[in-house]
Amino acid sequence: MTILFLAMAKALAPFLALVLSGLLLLIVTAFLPKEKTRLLFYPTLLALAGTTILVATNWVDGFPLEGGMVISDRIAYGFDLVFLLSVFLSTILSRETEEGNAHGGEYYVLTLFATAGMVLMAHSRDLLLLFIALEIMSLSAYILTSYRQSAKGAEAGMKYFVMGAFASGFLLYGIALIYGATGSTDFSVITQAGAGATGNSLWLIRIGVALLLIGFGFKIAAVPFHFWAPDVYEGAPTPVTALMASGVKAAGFVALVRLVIAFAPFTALPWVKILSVLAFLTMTIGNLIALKQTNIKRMLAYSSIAHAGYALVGLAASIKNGQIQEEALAAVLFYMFAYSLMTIGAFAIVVAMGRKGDEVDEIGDYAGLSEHHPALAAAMALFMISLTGIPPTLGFIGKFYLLRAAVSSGLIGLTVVAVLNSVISAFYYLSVVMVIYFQKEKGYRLPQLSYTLLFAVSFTAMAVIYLGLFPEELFQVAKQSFQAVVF
Amino acid sequence: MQEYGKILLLFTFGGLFVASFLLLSNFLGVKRFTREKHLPYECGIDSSPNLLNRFSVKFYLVAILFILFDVEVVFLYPWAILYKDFVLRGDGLFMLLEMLVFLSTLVVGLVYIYGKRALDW
Repeated sequence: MTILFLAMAKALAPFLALVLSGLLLLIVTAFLPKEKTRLLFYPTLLALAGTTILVATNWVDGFPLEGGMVISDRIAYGFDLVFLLSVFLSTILSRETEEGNAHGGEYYVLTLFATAGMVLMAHSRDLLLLFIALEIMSLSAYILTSYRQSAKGAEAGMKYFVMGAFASGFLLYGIALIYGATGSTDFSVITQAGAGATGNSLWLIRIGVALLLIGFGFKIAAVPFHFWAPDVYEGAPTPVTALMASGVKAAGFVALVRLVIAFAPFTALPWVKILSVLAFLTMTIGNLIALKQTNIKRMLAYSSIAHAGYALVGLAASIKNGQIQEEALAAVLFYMFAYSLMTIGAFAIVVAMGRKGDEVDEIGDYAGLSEHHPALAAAMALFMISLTGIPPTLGFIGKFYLLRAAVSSGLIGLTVVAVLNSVISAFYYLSVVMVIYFQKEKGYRLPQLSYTLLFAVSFTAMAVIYLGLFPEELFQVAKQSFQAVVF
Repeated sequence: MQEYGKILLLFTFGGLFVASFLLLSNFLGVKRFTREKHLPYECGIDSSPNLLNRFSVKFYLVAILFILFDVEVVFLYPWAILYKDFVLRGDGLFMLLEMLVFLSTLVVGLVYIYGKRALDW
């Protein structure tokens, strides 16, 4: 009993650390004078770093503990690392905007709670727990989105909340149908009961799974469930946008990965076709609309939709003749990591361009950045090249692994579409580079850069280049996360 | 699927029942309108004249907080009813600790709203 309890405590230590530090900071922020709340930045980073260490040790120990409603396998810990990385970097970015400074310490508390929700999502073995974890993450994200008290922030938060509630409805309906057919919300019981299901109850499970796909489709902003994304990404404070594009999206993908692992083997749905169509629409429409954007945050929002489409290619490739292809899922995890790094880097430059309190969002405002700040200009060019997927950057490697998995699963058509989409995306990514390097300066004065921001930019830039050149070890980590996938 | 048929039957009869009684009372009922019947009903007291009276926003805050804690306290009831079974099964201490964890989380929330002076009238 006690040994099991200790093992459980170790397995859940990352989640508990996040929740406890969040609760602690909540009490502290209530009694701290308002001008001192910016000091909570440091304990937040400390908590995130500590949690990262816990996750990393658990990943290395790699014990697939199952008990109650949680599962602690390497899939969960692998995705936890993506969440923690993106939350860590976005928290650093928040230092430069007024959210982290003027409006009290709740920003940090909510960040920690959102992270706890993501971590719990990766660890849930039960549909209900998955739903609750999703709500913990989403509710924190809604508040963070409207954290800046402006009309745009309120609009973004409201839209995000309404669309999120709508998506939750789909999820709950799906869970209810699956429960009705199998009598359980536990993944392992569902897979056992589902394997013997026939006729009507099999159809109930199928409809339920389809509803779950729609619900998580909203969360990852897959076309045709993407309409909220551009407005929300534009209206939210830039660090929160960075978090939504990286951590929250990865949390949606971990849920989708679990769904595929649990349901693909027995539901006999045309999974590959469904996911391929979803991937095709998401990539193509995301990229085509991104071509017309003049606001950089909207452009990055559509780019984020398109990248969800690339990752969905990997998900479609993960099922071959009803068998789970571990390598394709590993490519999805790797891509989430890679995309988080690149996009947070790009958002870091967006933060750098704005003074405290006012953001500079138009792509035209970046004209002449190369003259008065060549290092930032070079970093932005690097991130744009990486998002396009040109070697020797991390973005190229991520796409390479995804498409290699797609080819080995026989999805040649989808691979061709993905490559064509990368070509389309080059137009709008490289046009930002054009503006930075070849247009005359408009006289916009860049504010003084702080060390934290310089750290965020240089860290992501170096990671994008280094991992672009030597990706093998990281991919091995992703691959080992998916060894012996079971439910 | 057989079990769901009964639920459908329940819904059908429930709907028919409600619809038929509403229709019957509409046809058979006597309609006599007086001034009092058209006034907004407020516990029998004459309602105050102006709908657009301002009221303190504190009401909103206190009401929200009340509902929050009220809803969470509802979770205590099923726990309290089942607690004896847990003790008999030997899980008593564990379930007590679980509930203490839940309650202490609530207390953190209470401390927070106290520190934010949301309870100052």
